[in-house]
Amino acid sequence: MTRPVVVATAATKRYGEVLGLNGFSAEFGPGITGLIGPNGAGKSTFFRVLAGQLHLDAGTMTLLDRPADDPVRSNHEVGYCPESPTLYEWMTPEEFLRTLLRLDGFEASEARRRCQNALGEVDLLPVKDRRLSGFSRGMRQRVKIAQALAHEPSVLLLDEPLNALDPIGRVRLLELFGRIAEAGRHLIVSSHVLYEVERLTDQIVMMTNGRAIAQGDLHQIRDLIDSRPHTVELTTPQPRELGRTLAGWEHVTDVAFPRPDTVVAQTRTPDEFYRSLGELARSGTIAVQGVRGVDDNLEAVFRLLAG
Amino acid sequence: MTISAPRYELVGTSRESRSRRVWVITTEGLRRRLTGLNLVLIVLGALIVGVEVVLFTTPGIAGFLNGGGSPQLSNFATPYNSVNYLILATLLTASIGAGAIAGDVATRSIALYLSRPITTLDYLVGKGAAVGLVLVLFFLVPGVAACLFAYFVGNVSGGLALTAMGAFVLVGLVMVVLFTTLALFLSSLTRRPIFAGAAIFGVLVSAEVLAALVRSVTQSVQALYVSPLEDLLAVAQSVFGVTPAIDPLGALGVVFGISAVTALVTYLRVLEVEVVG
Repeated sequence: MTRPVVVATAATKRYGEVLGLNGFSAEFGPGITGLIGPNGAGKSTFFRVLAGQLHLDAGTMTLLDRPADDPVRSNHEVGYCPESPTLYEWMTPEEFLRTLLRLDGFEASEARRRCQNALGEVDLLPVKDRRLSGFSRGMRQRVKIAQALAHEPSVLLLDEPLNALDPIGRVRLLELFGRIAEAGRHLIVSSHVLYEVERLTDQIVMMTNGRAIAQGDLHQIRDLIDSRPHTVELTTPQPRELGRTLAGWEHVTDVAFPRPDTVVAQTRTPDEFYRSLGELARSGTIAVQGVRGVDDNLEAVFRLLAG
Repeated sequence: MTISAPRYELVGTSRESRSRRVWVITTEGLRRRLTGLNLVLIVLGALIVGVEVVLFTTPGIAGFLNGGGSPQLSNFATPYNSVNYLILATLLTASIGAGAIAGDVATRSIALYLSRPITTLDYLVGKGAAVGLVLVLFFLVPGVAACLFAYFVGNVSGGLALTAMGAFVLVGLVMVVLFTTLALFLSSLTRRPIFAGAAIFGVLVSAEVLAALVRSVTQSVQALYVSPLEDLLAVAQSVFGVTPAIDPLGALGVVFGISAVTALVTYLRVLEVEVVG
C-alpha cells in the first residue's frame, strides 16, 4: 500500500487580511521533498500548521494520516526545526536538548544518550557546555537541527535549515539529511535558495502566495512547463549570423546577445526548437559550440511557474 | 501529478507519562527562575518577606517569649493585620510570574513547547507549578519559620505552634492559588513580561484602592469584596481566629471564583496562541 506522508487539502490560513496559506493543496511523499518558494510564499506557515502551532481557518492537513491539529499524537512523529532563532538562551546545548527530549517523554538516561548522538551529528559536542546565548547564528542553526533530530522522528520538518551555515557545515548537513532519508525517515526541507534543494532531491513542491503551483519530480515539472517560454543559451563564433537565423524561426519569441560569443533565444516550443537547431548544426552553415538550456536550472523553473 | 510512495513505518518508542513531561516544564521554569539575577531577586524577596513575617509575628508573641502570658493562635495573625504584607506579596508575584507565558511568547520559545507532544493544559499546569513553587517560598515558608522560631525561642506549646503552622500553610496555599492564576492570566495577555508585571501589581493595587474609596464613600464594608487582597485578608484573619471585616466564606468564594475564572480564560487564551513571525 502506498500513501503520502503529508497531505494538504485546500488548506487556508489567514493573518488578518493576509493569506498565509491560500487553498494550499499538495501531497508530500516519503524520502526528501523540497518545499520551494520565495520569502513570504507561506512555507513557514505550512510547517507551523503541521507542527500544531497554527490553526487552519479552512481545509485540512494530515501528517502520517493524522490531523495536524492533534499535536500530542502527531508531535511524537515530528521533528520541527523552525526558521526563527528560538532557543532557551540561559541553557547549554546539552541542557536544551535534554529538556526537549524529556518533554518528548524520554527517561533521563535515554535523553542523555540521544542528546549526545544529536549533538555529535551536528558537530556541537565540543561546545556542549557553553551557554546558548553566546552562540553564533550558524551554531544556533545546528542546535535547532539537533533538537529536531534528537528524538528520531519519522518526519522532519526543516524550515530553511541551511541558513547561516558555512559551506562545510552545509555539505555535512546535506550528507546528514541524505543518511536520515536512507534510514527510512521523511524530510520536508524548505528553501528559497533553489540550488540547495536541487542538491538534495528531485521531489519538490513549489509554492507562492500561499498556493502550490507545482509538485512532483523536477523533470516532470519541466515537462509540464515545456509549453511555456523556454530559454536556451548558445555559444557561437558567429553570433550575428546565428541571431539572424534564430529570429527567422517562427517558434522563437526573443533573441538576445548577453556576451560577444553568446546568443540567448526564447522559444515557446522547445521540442521544435531543438529539432531545428539540430538541422542547423548538421547543415554546417553556422558553428554552434555550446547549448545550455537555462531552464534546466531549478530557479528558472520556479520563475516560469510563478510567472 | 503525484509522488509514488512506499510504505512508511512509525517508530515505536516507550515514553514517560504526561505527568512526568509536565514536571519537566515545571523544573525548566524553576531553573529559569533560580539562576543568575532571578535567584538573587528570589533570595532577596524571600528574605524580605521572611524578616517581615517574623518581625510582624514576633511582637504578637513577644509577651510570652519570656514565659509570661498565654499565647493564642490570633497572636500569630499579625502579618495579616493589614494589607501591607499582601501588597509586598503582590510585588513579588509581579516580578516572579510576569514572564511565565509572556516570556515564552516574547522569545518564541513557546514554539518549542508547542512542537512537543504536550497539551495546552500540560503547559499551563507546568508553568503554574513553577510559579506556584516559588511563591510557596514567599507565602508559606516564612510563616512556618516564624512558628518554629516561636516554638524554640518563646513559651509556645508544640500544639499551638503546629496549629499556627497549619494556618500559615492554609492561608499561604490560598494566596499561591490566587496569585499564580492571576499571574498566568495577565502574563498570557501580552508578549512583554514587564507589561504583565505592571498589570499584576496594577490590577491588585487598583482594586484595593477602589475598594477603599467605595467603602469610604458608601460606608459599606461590602465594598471590600471588590479587592482580592481584602478577600485574602478576611480569609487569613478568620483562619487565625481574628474576626474579619467581611464574611470570610464569601471572601473565600470570591478568591476561588477569581482563580477559577482566570484559570479558565488563561486556558482558552493559550489554546488560541499561535506562533507567528
